[in-house]
Amino acid sequence: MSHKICPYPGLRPFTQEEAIFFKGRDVHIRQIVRQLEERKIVMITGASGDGKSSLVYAGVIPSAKAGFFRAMHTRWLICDFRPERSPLRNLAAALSSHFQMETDEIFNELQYGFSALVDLYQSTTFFLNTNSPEFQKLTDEEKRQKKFKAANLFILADQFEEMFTNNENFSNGKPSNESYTAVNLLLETAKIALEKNLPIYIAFTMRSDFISQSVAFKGLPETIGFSQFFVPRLKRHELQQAIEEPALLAGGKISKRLTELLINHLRDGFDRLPVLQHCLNRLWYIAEEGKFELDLIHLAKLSGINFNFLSQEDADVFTKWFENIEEKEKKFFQHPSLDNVLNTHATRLYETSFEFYQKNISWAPQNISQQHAHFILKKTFQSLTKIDFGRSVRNRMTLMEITQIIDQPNINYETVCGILTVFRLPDSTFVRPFFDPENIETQYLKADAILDITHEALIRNWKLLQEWEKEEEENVATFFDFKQQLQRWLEHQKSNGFLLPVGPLSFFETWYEKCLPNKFWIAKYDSRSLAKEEKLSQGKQMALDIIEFLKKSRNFLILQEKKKKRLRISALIFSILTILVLSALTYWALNEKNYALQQKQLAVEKTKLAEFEKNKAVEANDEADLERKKAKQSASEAWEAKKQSDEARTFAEKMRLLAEGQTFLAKQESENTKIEKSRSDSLRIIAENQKQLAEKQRQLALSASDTATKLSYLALAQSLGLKATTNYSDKSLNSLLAFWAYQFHTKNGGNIYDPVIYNGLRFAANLAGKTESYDLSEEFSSDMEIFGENILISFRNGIISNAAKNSIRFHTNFEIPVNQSFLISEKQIIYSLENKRILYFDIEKNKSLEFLEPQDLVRGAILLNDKNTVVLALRSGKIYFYSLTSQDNKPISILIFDSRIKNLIYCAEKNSLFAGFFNGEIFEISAINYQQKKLSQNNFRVESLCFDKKNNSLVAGFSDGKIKIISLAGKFADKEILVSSSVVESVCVDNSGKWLGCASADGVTKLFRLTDLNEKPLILHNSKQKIKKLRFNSDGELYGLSMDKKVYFWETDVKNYANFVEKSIKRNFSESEWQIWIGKNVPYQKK
Amino acid sequence: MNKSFRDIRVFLAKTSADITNLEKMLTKVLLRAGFNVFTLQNFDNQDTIVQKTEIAIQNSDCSIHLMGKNYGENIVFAPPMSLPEFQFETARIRNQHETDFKIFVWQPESEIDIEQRQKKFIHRIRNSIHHNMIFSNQESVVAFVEDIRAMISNENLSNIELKPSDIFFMYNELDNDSASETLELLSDIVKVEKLKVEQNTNYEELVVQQIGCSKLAVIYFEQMADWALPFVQQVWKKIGGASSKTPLVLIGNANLNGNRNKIFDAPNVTSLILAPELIPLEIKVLFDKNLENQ
Repeated sequence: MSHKICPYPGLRPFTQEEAIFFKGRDVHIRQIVRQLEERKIVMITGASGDGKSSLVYAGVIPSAKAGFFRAMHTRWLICDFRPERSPLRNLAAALSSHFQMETDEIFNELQYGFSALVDLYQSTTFFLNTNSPEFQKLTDEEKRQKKFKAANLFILADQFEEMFTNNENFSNGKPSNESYTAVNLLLETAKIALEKNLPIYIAFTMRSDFISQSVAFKGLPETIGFSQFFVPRLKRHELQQAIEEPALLAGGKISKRLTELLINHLRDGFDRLPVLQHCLNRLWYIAEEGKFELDLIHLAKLSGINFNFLSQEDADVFTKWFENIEEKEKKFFQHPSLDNVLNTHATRLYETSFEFYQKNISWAPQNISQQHAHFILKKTFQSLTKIDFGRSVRNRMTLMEITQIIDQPNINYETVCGILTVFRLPDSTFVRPFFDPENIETQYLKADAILDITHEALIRNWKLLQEWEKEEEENVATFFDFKQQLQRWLEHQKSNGFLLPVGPLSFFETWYEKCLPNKFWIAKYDSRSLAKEEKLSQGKQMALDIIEFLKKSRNFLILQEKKKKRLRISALIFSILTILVLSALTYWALNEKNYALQQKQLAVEKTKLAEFEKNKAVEANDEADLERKKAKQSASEAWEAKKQSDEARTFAEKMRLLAEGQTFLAKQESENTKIEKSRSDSLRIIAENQKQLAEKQRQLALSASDTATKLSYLALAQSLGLKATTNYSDKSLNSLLAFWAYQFHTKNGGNIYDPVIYNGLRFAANLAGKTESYDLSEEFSSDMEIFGENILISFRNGIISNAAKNSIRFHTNFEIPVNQSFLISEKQIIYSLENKRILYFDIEKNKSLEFLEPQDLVRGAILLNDKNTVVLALRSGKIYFYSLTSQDNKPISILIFDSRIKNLIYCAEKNSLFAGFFNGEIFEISAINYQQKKLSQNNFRVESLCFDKKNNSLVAGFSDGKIKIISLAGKFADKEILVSSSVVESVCVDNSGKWLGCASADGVTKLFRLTDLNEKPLILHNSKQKIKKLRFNSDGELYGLSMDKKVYFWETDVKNYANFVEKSIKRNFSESEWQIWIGKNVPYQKK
Repeated sequence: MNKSFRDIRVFLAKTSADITNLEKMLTKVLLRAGFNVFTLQNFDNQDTIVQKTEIAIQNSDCSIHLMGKNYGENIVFAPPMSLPEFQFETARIRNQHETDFKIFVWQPESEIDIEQRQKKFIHRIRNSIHHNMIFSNQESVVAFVEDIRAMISNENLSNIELKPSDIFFMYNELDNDSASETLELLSDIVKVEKLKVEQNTNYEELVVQQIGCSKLAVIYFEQMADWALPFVQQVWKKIGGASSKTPLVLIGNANLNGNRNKIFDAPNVTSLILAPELIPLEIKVLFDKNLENQ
């Protein structure tokens, strides 16, 4: 043999000639042969693509011819036919070539049904009855000659489901006369053959999903029950034979690893064998017609597997090969799979069809463009498929019928044939009749040549064809909808009342432009049992009616519109004038109203502010008065006590004097005197005690008075702080008010972080020129991290800039926008693109790589302590660990969680990751051994997380506006506070563990003191534009990345603002100003 | 000789800890399927591991290697490898030397979350699959064991009494007269075994096996070309086509004009149409040539 024959037929079934390569079905062939030997009939059923036809053509028939079928004679008459649109005539045609009779003659005979076929066979020389007296009388030589001529009759009704799928055979649940007779004839023939032991054998092949419809034919269900052979799925070892042995038979070889991979990758369901056979066929050709051993690399080149499956050596070869293929080819390698081999092959043919036509088809007109070629292919494949009970099935059509449906002036059937040639070539065979390079008749097809898709696997696996099919299905559905409207109009004598209204008219006009239905297209979807000519004639009339209906509907609408228009114009002129006048008046009135409302609003606000300030001051004064009264009362109480004490002392003195006087008088009463003295001493001690108490109370009174004074000053400081936040034309007033507010507040023991004082100072500092924001150059920011003095911002267009220095640090261009980015170090960044690609860039080393495996959006990215491991938290609930030095760019490990991940942070000291989830759970994950510990459970999603290094705790912000602080060392119970009525977007704790920053989705940013969370927080920011990320720098300044193209920053140490304000003050209050702003009762001071 | 499944000793190699339950399940299913299953437990030191594994593999008919997600610790140190890999390597060495020994590798779970080292191990196996080695991704343990049974029972052939010969000569009963003459002449010079193919006999398996123990197979025809051509094609397919050790000769009698184009063009097949008197000589020439080539 000069060259190796391809042992894999591709999508088409094996032919009898290719039986030598048909492997894997030996057991099934034997089972069918045994059944035919015993019962004379077999109904071979199975799913589409299970190889029913191949099993008979390349298995049973060659076995029979080879003598592996125990029959009466050695010779065989094989009469195979498909029912198509005329089953009995096709059977007659199949018989006529063997019986040497005219088809019509046989057809007429067969119409009688029952024993007609047996009678015909018995009337030929193929039938030999060796028991007959005539035969017995013959000489040995004559008997031998008779035996040579005798032949068994084998009838194969292939694709018997056509009895049900063609309207000519089966319509509205009823079989046609011809199909009914054909079934009767075949069943009766098998019955007689069994009864009389005649060498006649009948085989059917039919898709199993049509079995239920067989009840329409009398006797057919019983026959199926009696003779059914359900084609089993190939077992593993049978698949192995079907893959390996044809190559060996043809002198080629296929690697064992490829065989195993093909078996493992074949997906269950339809089309296993066609997809496999097609793939093997392509492998054979890409391995230079079996010159090389078929191996994994060949499959990778066909986009059947990912090149990761290859050995290192093959992967290198593949990579070089891939670099050299055309750019447009590379798109086929995006989703490698066995199914993709078929899809890719068909799409390539589609894309190259015009080029092939120009180069190779000289006999057809060259007046078409590539667009025409693609249009022809689309229409052709739409014509060759149809929807039958929700299933996509093949639909045979002649070349002329397809050309007529295409219906373009410059496209004739030769052009259609030429364009379609590329799908009929020996190495593609997607459409019958196949192109035989040695047979001219198969190349230049006649107009009545019947075209057919080789296998429905093409319909199910070629994505482009699926799209076309869907479009056609929609067109047909719209057509039937339109037909009803048209019918109503016709039934009502084309009454204007039944014309289409504007909405449906526009819809159907669009459909008409897209579909361009002609009589041939309409006839294709006419399911009635009519003759073809009749269908065409009615289709022609309908095509005309459609045009008229649309046209009249449009004209009627235009007429109606014109009438309305005239009326409208006059009304319009009047209306316009009225509207203009009214509009002007309304505009003026609205402006006035708005102005008045604004003024009123302003006045109300001012009043409220003034009242608020007044109330505050009054409250403070009241408190001070109260304290003063208390002090006075204490002082008077002390005076009373002193008075009592003095009286007691005087009394004691009198008693002493009395005692001394009486010493002389009554020494006998010395005992009594001693007692009296002792009593006097006691009273003296009491008096002493009362004196001390009085002293203490006096001190208390003085202290209360001092407290009252301090409170009075604190109230004044509050009032000044509030006033400092008002815009004055003289800005130095703000600084003076804030300065004195701060002075009075701090000197009288006020809380240094009082919000009013803080706000007053901040407001004044801002007015005095202290800036608190950086403007960003780009619009859509994605991430912010602070590294020393650098504030790095990454943007959705791939730019990284330093906000502090207003400089671009890195710039890469993405066609797809960044969904989120993560600055994992000062020089490394992870980009998560909108198309779910994940990229890593090392800015310093100018290195980049793509993480291939996860196709998802990233919700957190971390660089671990080792500076080599990158952790990606994916939205879907997976956490991937990658090594940056890994060769294969594959994850080291993957953790899977139940819920979607919202964010991920890292604690370098503990070498632990903390992940927050949509379901409210928070997990701690060890970066060393991936051990997971659930820290918290909540009903609301975890919006933000941060780690408090100082206090060894975790702070989490939730979607319900709450914050939870979890002690990781178990030092305190979890704390929970409500910080906002909206989602907590970002939380952040400074290095000293003192401050907690918190930004919520309502645009408010607050600063809490961690030591006292119940204290009123500082409101740092309150805007429509929310802060999306907060970060502290090492100096304790808080930075916030805002949605309004800015980075804001705030001092947490109020002294910084106070110093700035003090420095900005260039003058003092005058005495009169002091009296107005500070008060007459406060002694005048200078700064 | 047919073996019952009970006679087939299946060595179930050590697996990683993450799929111990599956391993237990597999053992039970193999036992229910009638196999004689054994595993190795309790190793004391490296020498015991090596020795016990080699003996176990040597005493088995096939081995099963279950692939989990973890690679396991290095048990053997020169070169360093885990116990599952060492046992697989030992089986692979036996498989390379003995074609009857089969290896079944089973990776039932998806490739997600597989440890890097285990991934590399699986990748190595996938790229070194050869004869009598099966790599399966079956999800069901029962389906996997069904495949094992099919692969093993598939090879059982029925017992036919064979007669080793130089030439195996086949013809249809309707060509008996002319074939007998050729056969007579041929029998004088070489050892010939003949088969007269008759209808109503089942000779398919006999043909395949007898060709296997003959040096040359000849299919002769005169009147029965319609039988001979499909017959030689089917026989060629069944004995392995181009890879068969026994070449086929399809030889037709030129006395019948219709035989001129009855040839079968395929690797390992010689197709000739000759005058009857030349046929025995030509067969002898082809036989000698084949002997030289061997």
